[in-house]
Amino acid sequence: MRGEKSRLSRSLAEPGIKIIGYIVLAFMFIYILNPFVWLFLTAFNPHGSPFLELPENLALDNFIAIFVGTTKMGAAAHSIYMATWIKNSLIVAATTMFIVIVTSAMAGYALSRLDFPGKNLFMLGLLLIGFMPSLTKLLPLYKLCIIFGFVNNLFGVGIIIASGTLPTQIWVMKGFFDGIPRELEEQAWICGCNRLTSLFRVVLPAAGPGVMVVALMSFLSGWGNFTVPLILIRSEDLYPISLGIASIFTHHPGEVGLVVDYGVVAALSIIYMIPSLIIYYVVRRHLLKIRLARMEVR
Amino acid sequence: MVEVRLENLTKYFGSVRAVENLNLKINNEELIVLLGPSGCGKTTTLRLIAGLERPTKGHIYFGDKCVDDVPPRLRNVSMVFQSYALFPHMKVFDNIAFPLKVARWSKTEIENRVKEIASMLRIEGLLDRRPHELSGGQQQRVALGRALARKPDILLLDEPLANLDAKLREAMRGELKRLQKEFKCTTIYVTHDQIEAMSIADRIVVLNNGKLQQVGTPEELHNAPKNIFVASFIGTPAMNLLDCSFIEEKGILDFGSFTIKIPDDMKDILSGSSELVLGIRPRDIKVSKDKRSHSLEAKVYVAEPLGEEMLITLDIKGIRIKAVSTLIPHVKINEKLWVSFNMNKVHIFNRKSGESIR
Repeated sequence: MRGEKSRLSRSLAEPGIKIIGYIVLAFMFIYILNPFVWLFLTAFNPHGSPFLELPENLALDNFIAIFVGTTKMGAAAHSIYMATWIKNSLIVAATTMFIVIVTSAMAGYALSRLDFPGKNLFMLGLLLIGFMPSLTKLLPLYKLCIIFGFVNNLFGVGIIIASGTLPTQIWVMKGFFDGIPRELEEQAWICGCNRLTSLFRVVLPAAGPGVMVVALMSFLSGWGNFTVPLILIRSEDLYPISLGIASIFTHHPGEVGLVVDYGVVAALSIIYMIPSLIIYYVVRRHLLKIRLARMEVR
Repeated sequence: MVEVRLENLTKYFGSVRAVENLNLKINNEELIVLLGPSGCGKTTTLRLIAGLERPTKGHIYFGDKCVDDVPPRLRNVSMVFQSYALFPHMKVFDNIAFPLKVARWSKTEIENRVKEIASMLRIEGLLDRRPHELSGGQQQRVALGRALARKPDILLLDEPLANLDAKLREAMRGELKRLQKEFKCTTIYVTHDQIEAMSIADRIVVLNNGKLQQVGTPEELHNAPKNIFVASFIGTPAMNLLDCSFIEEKGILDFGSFTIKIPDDMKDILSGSSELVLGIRPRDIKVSKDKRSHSLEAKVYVAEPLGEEMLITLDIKGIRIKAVSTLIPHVKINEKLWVSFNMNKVHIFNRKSGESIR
């Protein structure tokens, strides 16, 4: 019986089914990768256009154009902004990362190690806020931003983005802390540390992979965010890349009425994509380790 | 290098009693072992002394100083956990140097001290490794090195050998004892293994259910156990404990299926008590193939050779006892043997209170 069955399943998996499977896979592959291939071909094509075409020769002209400008008629002004957009995105991402790490480390530690009244309620609240669409909070946040002077301020943008991703990251961090044996910390106390020094000298480094995941994920959320800068940033020289790319199509910064240089836009998109690729590569092993800590209900 | 005094030390976790009314003085430079079955409160006592737990009641003194409100980092104690708790992100060197760095020793001082400790523990070659690259025995040495590096007043060891294999455990046992005498720091050692305790301790503290049972040197505990618990816990193989009653007019102990006549000097001590437990160590039972005066007839239940000796489980009319005897050739199951108790080495306990009478 068993032999028959396995022979049956083998014959099912053989030629006919297999070929169909590959066709489906190939279709999905093209469907998903097509935009990326298009993007890469255009970015490395010195004469990039909105149409998918094989470049005659591959060159870095478009990337150079982002930083030093181009000889192409009328397109020069883009570069002044594009280089700053990259810098702006870095500022926003770094601010977000810094705030998220420091805050989520301390909050995650407290939730993992300390007992205080209302702890479970607080954690449920965090979870709830984390699940809410971020746009629901925008009106009050905008009002607050005006009061604090966060409008047209890259650090302000970072702070607001951080506040949005913090609830989730605190949970992730708590999960990592839960996995670190208490004895490690007690050993640190006996060796002369107080709670704060043991957190930063022993617990955080021991939670290294976790901290890295939180750091990189928050960096990405700052780097890629579109809505928050859209609402808070007015001047074009403070645009992060996300806003910059969009603005190229809505209005051409600097020189209204110019033709969109698709090659340069594609190159900028590639740069916009690079952190995600690097971070995915670095984090892919650790991502598996993220486990949201289970709630302890007593 | 300090004397530790526990005064009415009590610790409850919620309504669970971990340690109850513990009074103990640990002398300067002494190696004292807290011994007891798991859950007896020995680790809790250690954590109380380290400052990781707060006593529910009672006080702890280091010398003349009450340390109840002193946090662990200011107590100048070192502790080796059962899991060693090595810092996984640090190399061996940094692990050992950690308490020194926290105490802000200078760089050269730290380097010299770590090298000194490493050579004493014979781990000089491992200083560049990370904890996960070490074997269990090596990790144990590193943990010990970290504990000794900053010259603690008190060294606390929580089952430090439990995670090692049997052979290594035996070797480390002796080495620990030597190291302790070299470093001369007051050491409190927790274990559930009575053989380990006997071999290493200056004095042993036996705990059960959070309560102190007996304090004494290994010899005292072995030769004069204060109650049934200590008697049954200490010694390998364990002491035989037989329920019996004293029949004063005949001067005999009645075990139900057989009786033993007792020497005259014991009669006075036992007079007035009836429900008793007789304890006798397997090595104090004589076994022979020939009948002698006062010997009892017994059948061999099973015989296990232990090298030079033999552990024989005997059946005396339905009551099983264990005896250790020098090798009697060809002991067979169900063979008839004659046993006699060495009455000078017999322990008698009150069955109700468990306290020793003799």
